[in-house]
Amino acid sequence: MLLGFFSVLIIRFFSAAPVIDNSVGIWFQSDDQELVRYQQYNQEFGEQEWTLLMIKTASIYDPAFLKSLAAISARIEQLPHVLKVTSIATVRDNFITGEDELEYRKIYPQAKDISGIISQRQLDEMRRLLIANPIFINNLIQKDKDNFTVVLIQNDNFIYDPSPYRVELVDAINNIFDQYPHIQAYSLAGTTVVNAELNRAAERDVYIYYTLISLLLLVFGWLNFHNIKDLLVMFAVVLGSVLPSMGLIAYRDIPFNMITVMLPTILVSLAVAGVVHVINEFHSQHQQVSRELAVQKTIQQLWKPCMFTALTTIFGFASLTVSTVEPVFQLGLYAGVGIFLAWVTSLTVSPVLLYILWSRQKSFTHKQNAFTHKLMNADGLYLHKPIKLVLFISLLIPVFGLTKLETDTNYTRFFDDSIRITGAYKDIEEAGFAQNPVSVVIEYPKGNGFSNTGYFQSVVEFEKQLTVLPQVIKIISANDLLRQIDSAFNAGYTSDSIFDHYNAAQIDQLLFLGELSANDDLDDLLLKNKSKLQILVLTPYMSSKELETFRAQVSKLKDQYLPRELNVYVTGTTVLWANMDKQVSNTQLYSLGGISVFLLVLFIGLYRSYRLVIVALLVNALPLAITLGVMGLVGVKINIATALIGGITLGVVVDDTIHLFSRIKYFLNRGQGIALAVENAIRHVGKSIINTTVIVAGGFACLATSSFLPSAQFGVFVTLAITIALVLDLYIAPILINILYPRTLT
Amino acid sequence: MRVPISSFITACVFVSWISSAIAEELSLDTKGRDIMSKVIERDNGFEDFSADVEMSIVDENGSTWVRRMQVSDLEIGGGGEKRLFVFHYPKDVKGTAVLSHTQGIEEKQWIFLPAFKRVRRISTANKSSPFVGSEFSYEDLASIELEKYRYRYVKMENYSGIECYVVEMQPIYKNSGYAKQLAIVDSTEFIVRRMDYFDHEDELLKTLELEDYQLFIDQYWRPLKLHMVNHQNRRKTLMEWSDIKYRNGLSDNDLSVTALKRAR
Repeated sequence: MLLGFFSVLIIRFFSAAPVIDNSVGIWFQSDDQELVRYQQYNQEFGEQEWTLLMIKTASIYDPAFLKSLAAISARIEQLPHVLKVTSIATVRDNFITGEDELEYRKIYPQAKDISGIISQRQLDEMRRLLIANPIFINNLIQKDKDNFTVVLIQNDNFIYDPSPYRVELVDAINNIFDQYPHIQAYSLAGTTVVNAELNRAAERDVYIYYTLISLLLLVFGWLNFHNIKDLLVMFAVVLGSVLPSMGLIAYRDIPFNMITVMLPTILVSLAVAGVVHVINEFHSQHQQVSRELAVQKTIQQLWKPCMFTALTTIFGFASLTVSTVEPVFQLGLYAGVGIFLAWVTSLTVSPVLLYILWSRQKSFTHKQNAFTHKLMNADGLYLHKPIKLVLFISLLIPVFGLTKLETDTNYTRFFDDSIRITGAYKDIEEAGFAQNPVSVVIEYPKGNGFSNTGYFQSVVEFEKQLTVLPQVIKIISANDLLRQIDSAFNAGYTSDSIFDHYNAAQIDQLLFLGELSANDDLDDLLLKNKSKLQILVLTPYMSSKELETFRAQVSKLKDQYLPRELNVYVTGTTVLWANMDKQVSNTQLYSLGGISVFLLVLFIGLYRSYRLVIVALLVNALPLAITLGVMGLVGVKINIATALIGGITLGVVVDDTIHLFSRIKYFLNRGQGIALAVENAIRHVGKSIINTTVIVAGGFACLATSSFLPSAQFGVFVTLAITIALVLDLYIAPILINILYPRTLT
Repeated sequence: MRVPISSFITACVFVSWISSAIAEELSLDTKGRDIMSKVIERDNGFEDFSADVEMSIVDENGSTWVRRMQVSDLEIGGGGEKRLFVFHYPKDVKGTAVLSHTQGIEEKQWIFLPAFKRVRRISTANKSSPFVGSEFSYEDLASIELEKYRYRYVKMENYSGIECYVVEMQPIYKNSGYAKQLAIVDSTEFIVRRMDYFDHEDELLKTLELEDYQLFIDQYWRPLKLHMVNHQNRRKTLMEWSDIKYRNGLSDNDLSVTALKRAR
């Protein structure tokens, strides 16, 4: 069976089907209202999205630069999945020719000689035309800056396509620029680029995570066990849990995404955590009894705590399956499966292997736990002072930090500074251009479309108000294009105020004229049947909160300036991503809530002592509270990855408590006093707890190497929580137990 | 210097082989030109005709919209023609008219927008641009002028049970949207059954199928259906002609710029 899963994995990895998929569609349920609306909009307006390419050069009005730009634009337009490229070398405008003909043609003139370089006179005319047309200002050029220009690339936007076409497109554009070394600098931005970078980051993570976790496993295994046999047992459990889970994913043809790429690393570390207890317990027993008895006693001793630790960890991950974000659901489900298999193999395969491999005892030394002995000083007075301080500080952090914790998503800040896209967004922002196109869609009632006189005039006013919103750098609208057509056709007889009061017939016929002159820019903004109009709003990149504010402002403008029967909504890939915030917050709430209730019930059932239950709850809730508090204090937001911290952390950190408290109860049941029971428990399981913490923390720490910051943050903060939990279990829990239990029981 | 006999014979064989190859090429070119010349001649001398046209434009998603227009065509001396399109449907373009004058490779065009009561001359430089958003470009709708192309006979082909000539046409006029066209010509009637259009990367761009040919005034074959498919963007346009009337007595004044404003 293992071989079968392994084969499936290999076949999947080398098959043509994509292994990594971060396309938009995978993050939402198919009936998600925003997604459905976005899909419809996307199909109606040609399944395209805008990629922004900003070029920096000595002067955009240098004829040699313009010649290169024309060539670059043409080459980009030839690339697969590119629909249209608009640059100052390709943009068209309406002209009156020398023969008084109305012509819609490129502003960039044809060179008159074979060098392909335009003359100074042509250049001056081109510059005059660019600056004179308000559509181009703050869109392709800026009036006061001559060294920047933007190229707008319209490329395919296939919501469900898992193929790496976006990565290939970005690479192809980069390759084109490699052949123009005299271009000073360029910056590429847009949802295509973000998506491509997500895929690239996931691919990098696959190689880095799996290399690191393998090394960690080897190093940890050797340092801990100092022999090949125990290493083999450890690897057997790892393979027995990770292979089937990953094989199942491969069998179901589920590609990796930014969330599930973390799965093997997490599974490996959690699988090892379980078997470490088994191996250590076996050797401890084997010192005194035969290997048969050692196996028996190991299982007797550990089956309950292992079962409960597996249950809590499975529950911690399973709580993620309530999420409506599919990758989170996948992580929860398959991690749960893997942990279950790890538990089964830890208690079946590993004892068998230990029995087979260890016919003779392993040399084993018992270390006195002097540290614990110190902690459990009968006096205890001097421990109360620091314990109160420690608890006080531990509570201060969450109290101040949690209030600052917020959910906010900004994909441009999701990659570290070494990643090109981060610098690109900063450069575009500094240059004063927009970094993000957002679509404001106006839906007209049936039978009464765009050119209806009343609607047309109210939309003109709506657009004017939209332009003055603080977030808006520029809008691109069909009305702007029609205004240009009107100026050309009715030259000398029209003005802005005349245009603003045109009737339906006039608007329709200007649209027709646009069609006759092959002005396909209009098709990007207005559906042929005129039932929907898209206003492309160019803004700086907005985080999800900023986008929410913008949507509220648009809604307000709609109520003020547009008739009630017109439906207006804001859409776009960034809008969809921003909407995930709600789902992310819900994921965190539900998973935390679920696992908390489960733990409460479990502790009460297991320990039947309110003292132990109180201590157990405290030492498990505090690591998470402190971690979330630290996140709030340092400004880390709740996002798609950090939202997973709560449920997973609780499910993982409780393992140490369960092992420790089970051993305490064991000794208590044998008539030992509380102090001695705690000391003996720590002596017996302390080393295992420390070892398991090291491997689990190490596994999550591997995730901190990701260039996708949410994953890195997830790794860092789960590691922090696990480390704090260890300190609390070994240091604080014994002291609290000592304080809570009356001296008559000691 | 004496030339060896063997070299002389080799040179003669080589020259005659080259000559026959060139001759064969020239004959293919001539044959192609002759065929298309007959196609063009077939259509000459009609004087004028008028027709109603319904154009159904289908985009890549299957959405369809319809335009209806009346077309009037007038032959002018020297091998040119004047053509007037007056749009009737949908309501938003009713009364809009487009007039074109073609003489050889020269072409002029005007548009009338009734809402503004204004006529404007529009450029014909962009022949490859689509006509009213359809898959027919201005270039496709213009009649074939012999001097506009270089021709070459390719082969015989059976097309829908009809023996046809396949003739390659390479535009020699400026700003054509095509590298070449393949005309499938009925070898009996010298009418075009199908046209394949190739872009400047030599990729097949569009195919036009001309169907439901009818004979008018015992002389002129006219297809009632023209079906253009764009293979690259998956869009289609169907043009259906009806109420075709020849020799209505149209004159230059009826298809002049001043007449545009009166067009209904």
